[in-house]
Amino acid sequence: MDMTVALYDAGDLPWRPVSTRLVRVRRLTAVAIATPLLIAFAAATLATSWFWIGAAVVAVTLIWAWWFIGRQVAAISYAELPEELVIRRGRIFRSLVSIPYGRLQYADMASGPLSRRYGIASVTIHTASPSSSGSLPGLELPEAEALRERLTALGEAQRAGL
Amino acid sequence: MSDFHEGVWTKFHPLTPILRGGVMAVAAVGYVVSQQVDRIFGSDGADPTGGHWLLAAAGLAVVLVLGVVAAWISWQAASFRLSPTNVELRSGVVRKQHRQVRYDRIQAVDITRPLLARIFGLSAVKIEAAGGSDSSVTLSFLADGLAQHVRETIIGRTHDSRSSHPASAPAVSARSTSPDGALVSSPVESEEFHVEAAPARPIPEALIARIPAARVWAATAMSANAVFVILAVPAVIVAFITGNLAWLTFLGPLFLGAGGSLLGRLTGWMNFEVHGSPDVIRVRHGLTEVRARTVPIQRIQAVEVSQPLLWRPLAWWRIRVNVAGVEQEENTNTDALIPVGSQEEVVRILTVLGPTWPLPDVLAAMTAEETGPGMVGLPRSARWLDPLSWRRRGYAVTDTAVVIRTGRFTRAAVVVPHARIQSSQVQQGPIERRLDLASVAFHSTLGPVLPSVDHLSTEQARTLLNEQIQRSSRARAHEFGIPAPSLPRAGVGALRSQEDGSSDEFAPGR
Repeated sequence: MDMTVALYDAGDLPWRPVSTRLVRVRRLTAVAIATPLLIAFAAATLATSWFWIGAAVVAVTLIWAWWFIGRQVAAISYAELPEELVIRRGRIFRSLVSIPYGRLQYADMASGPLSRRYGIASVTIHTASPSSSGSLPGLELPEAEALRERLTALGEAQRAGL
Repeated sequence: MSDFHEGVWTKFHPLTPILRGGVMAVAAVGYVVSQQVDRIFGSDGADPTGGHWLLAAAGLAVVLVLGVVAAWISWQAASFRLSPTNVELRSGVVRKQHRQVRYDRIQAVDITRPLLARIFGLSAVKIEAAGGSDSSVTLSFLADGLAQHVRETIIGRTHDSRSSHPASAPAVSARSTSPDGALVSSPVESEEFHVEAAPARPIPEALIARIPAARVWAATAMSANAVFVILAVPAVIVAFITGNLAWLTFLGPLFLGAGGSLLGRLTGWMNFEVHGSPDVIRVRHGLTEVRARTVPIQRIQAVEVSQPLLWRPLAWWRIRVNVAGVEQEENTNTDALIPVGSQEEVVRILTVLGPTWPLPDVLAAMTAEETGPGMVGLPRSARWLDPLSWRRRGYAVTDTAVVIRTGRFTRAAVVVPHARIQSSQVQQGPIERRLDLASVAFHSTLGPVLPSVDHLSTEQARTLLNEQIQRSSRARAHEFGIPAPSLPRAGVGALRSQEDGSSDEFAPGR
């Protein structure tokens, strides 16, 4: 049934996955959000037993998120073609965006405290359009640095005005 | 500073943390003093310090020190450099950021001197690039002399990078020169430099269209808002007479809102004139105050010609455009090239825009009832997601542009030239996946026109995306003289190839 993968996947396109460490970072974040909720619900259950429903909902959501984050991160990949960067992502809502290097206005690299601990960063490329969502999370730091440099250099070489 | 070298990471002025923290200090001291003054002069009985002077002073000192320490830590982490091709800024302690802006993308370099900084002889350099709202880089603070030097260096590099690539024209000119010293709310001294396009040659402008007052009235009356107001008037009157407060509170605001919007239209559209020359289109309008807007034709990125249902019998149309680098017109009533024009006027305006905008195809997309020859329509399965207008939707491709047709009730034709597409995207939601459909969007600059072809078949979407990537590439190469990449273009064709089984390679557990 997964016919549409054909739209996004290809044998000889140089697709590259993002780091699996992103899975860990996102799962840790999910746990960090869910844990206080779970504790709060557990404490409330002592007072009114019906609160176990809330705890169960949080637990089930966490288990689902745990599983889904793996799939979600696996769905993120990118390919550096001669003239454009192609990024695809999403499991439920899939998307593929193709951004010509010549349209690059500037490139950002960012990494939060947790990401940095795991040695990953995100690279975001901006064009003159606010809807070009050229954000690529979960690149290993040296790769992120190198990609940003490459993108900037290619943008310079293939520059196209607005 | 003498220790500034181009291409080397440079820290900001050591007084920066004092200034940053100092803004807070001034605010805090100001607050306390004003409270005390109020108390002394008896206008306010309560003393916020509650008599505990020492405690209050200590608290203030702690806040101050914390502020300066935080600013000092962030100063430690921040540095900038002027590399041969980019301005680069590194910042952030907790969340590290690295931003680089290429010289040829820079639209404006301003020097701002907030009051406090001026006292210390410091300046900030604000660099703006084309892009979203978030596209500026501020270097704060530098000694005045260094700031001037940095600004001149950047301007020099910007000019160099432009003159070596004459085709990449600067994108911003219509910018207000209001100084933007958002650092403190004090008077700001500002010097500005703007990369301007070559001044328009004094070519006589011709009047292309003038909207008669009668048409403004009629077009305003033939709108959903007007219909609502007309229906709501009796209801409001009845509610008023019977004293039905619930109805009044519900209808009243809606009524006022719709009425206000109608008035805005009437005053905004009155005396609407469109003048054109080969370079620019000038729009003048307004009843009480005359407003004028200049749209450089070269900067138009996308065009939409649309027609609300009620205007169809009269064949009136509205033209809206995305213009690069020009501040967005806030008022949706007046952001059009022409808010209500006859078909003939629309043709004249499109003709002035030039051959990039394929007139016959646009006309066909505007008026034809069903998808005709040369237009790709949606597959039948799209009717589940778009039961009303799936037959009318579709796209056509010309030598210069993509023409998209939408709308059963509000008809519209959207045009985006191949050379003006910033990036392209395919999307597919869960329902589309079940129906084997996908949507293609072409990203244009900020503006009212959002070119997209929704609910094509997956196969059509794939074809459109891949072919469009190639068309846009050729168009860019043609317009901007970009050297063709030496690598073969294997990739895009490969986008079309079969599915792979590796998509779950990173499934959980691995």
